[in-house]
Amino acid sequence: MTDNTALESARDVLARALGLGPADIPVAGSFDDIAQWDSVSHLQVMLLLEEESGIEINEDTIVQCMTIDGIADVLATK
Amino acid sequence: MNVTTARHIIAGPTAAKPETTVTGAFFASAASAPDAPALWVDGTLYSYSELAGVARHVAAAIRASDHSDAGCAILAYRSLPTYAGILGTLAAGRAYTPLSPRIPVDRNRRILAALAPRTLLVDAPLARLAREILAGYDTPLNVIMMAGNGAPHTDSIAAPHVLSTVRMDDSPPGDTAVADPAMDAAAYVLFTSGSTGLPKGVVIEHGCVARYVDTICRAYAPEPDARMTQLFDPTFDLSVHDMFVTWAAGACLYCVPEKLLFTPIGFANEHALTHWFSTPTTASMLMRYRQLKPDALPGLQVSLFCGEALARQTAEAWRAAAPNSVIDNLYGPTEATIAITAHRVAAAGPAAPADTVAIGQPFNGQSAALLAEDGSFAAPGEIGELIVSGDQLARGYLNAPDQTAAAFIELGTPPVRWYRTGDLARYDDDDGFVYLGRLDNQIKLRGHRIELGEIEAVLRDASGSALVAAIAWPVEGQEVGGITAFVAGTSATAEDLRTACEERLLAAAVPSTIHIRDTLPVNASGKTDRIALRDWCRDNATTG
Repeated sequence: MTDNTALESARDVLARALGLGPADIPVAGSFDDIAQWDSVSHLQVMLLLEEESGIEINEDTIVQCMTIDGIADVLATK
Repeated sequence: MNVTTARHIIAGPTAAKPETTVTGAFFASAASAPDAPALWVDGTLYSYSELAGVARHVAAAIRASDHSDAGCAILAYRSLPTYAGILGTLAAGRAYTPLSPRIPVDRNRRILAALAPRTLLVDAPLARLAREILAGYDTPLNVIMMAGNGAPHTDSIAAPHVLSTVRMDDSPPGDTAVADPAMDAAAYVLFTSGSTGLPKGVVIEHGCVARYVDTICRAYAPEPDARMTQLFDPTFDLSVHDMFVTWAAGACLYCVPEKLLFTPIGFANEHALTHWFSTPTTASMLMRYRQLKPDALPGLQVSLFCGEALARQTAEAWRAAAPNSVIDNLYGPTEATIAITAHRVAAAGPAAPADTVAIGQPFNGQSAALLAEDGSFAAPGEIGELIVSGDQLARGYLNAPDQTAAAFIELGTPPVRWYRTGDLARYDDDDGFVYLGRLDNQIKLRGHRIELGEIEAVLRDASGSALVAAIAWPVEGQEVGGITAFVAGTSATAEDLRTACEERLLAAAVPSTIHIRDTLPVNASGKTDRIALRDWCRDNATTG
């Protein structure tokens, strides 16, 4: 996966997990600055990543996936 | 536990009243072991003398600009100024009230308006939020910015408010005296959600907190090398336990970073934490993240849960994850100071996995009883509203005599003051009190009295998940038209669950709709957010 594709995939997963439209997701952003992204919706993010991309849920990925860039990195190395 | 029973009142063990306030206990710990670690926050470990030093600076700053004895509001979150602000306010002899960036701006504003303090302490990085909260707040406030030791601080606050700054340095604080408050002086005012939507301020006196902390320290005897979790939001009174049990013991408090609040296991192990305190929801979230594996938390010695019903399956998963820890289920409303009963989770017994853990027996010097519908004590074996009494009871609600009189009643001869918890319970000779749900979770539907907690128990059993909620919906005016249920983290289908409900519940109690979700919303207190579920139902009403 190229970095750009990974970034688009990350934003797509995030939008669906948070119940937002793709346009509502900034190009870069994190758990701290997207209001709908909280501890509960983050579980949704992780479950989607696991189900669709086979990302393993562990303490490292749970924290790493708290930014859009972090999700993209996890997807790119998959 | 040695409890006495008389006239259906269950009284906790007797114990001498403590003579030291929590303020006194913290500064006594600081005097006896100044170099011992007191607080880990934001990656830094602070000793007792460092924390006491910044607290004295805050106390001096409060006294310099505010000569009243009014309580102070504190806008801070999981930072050194949060704890320095609370300790400094107490050291100045004032009661504290936390505001929070984790609750809506409007709710912060309503709390401020209800409290009407003279002083607002602000953690400098939250200055912008402070300005937002203060927009339209016209009563002049002394705003004290709690700033780090770095660059000069340049924040401004619009008139009529007056800004000053206190630095979080530990230089010798001079002769700032630490107040020695009377036991009947207020220690904190915390706000709970009123049924009207307006927050109610619960005024807790020093004697109440001192008694609670004394009871907990006697029960668990934490040593100065204990390391305790700080997971609770400061607006939630369980955070009072975290801070003041730790500091009375001369132990160290570990403020779990916000990003790790729902995966704190690695943090707990990295810092060799010994004492855990959270809501059951935190534990069930860890189960959902598949982090609560056997032996995941081998270093824990004491695990306490409070704030909502503890499902037995959650307790069993915790026992496997923390095999060296006792597990106690604490119960209590904010109005009775943090917690007022406890029950130790026994080794796996014959109890059905769907059960919730009992809430047990009253604490030292406190009593509990059940109130029948006619306002008298319930007969033994009957279900009733749980009422509690003792020296942990709040003074009442701030500036709300009618609400105070409705919730704090006098009963018996001679009259004793009781707080009506609004919780339904029964008493069991072996386990003590057993929580059965909120009284207002009891609804009337098509002439039947239905306990939503009973529906949730069936859903827990049938789904194998602790994350369940049943709410009254749809509701038209005052009329309940049906029940809507939510279940998260289950492989069962809505149809399976409906069949289980039909087999085990009155027909009227079978939910009209069962939604299977990946998660349930959680409020700032870490509990399942029923209001959000109701809002969701309302917002989605047109689409079914």
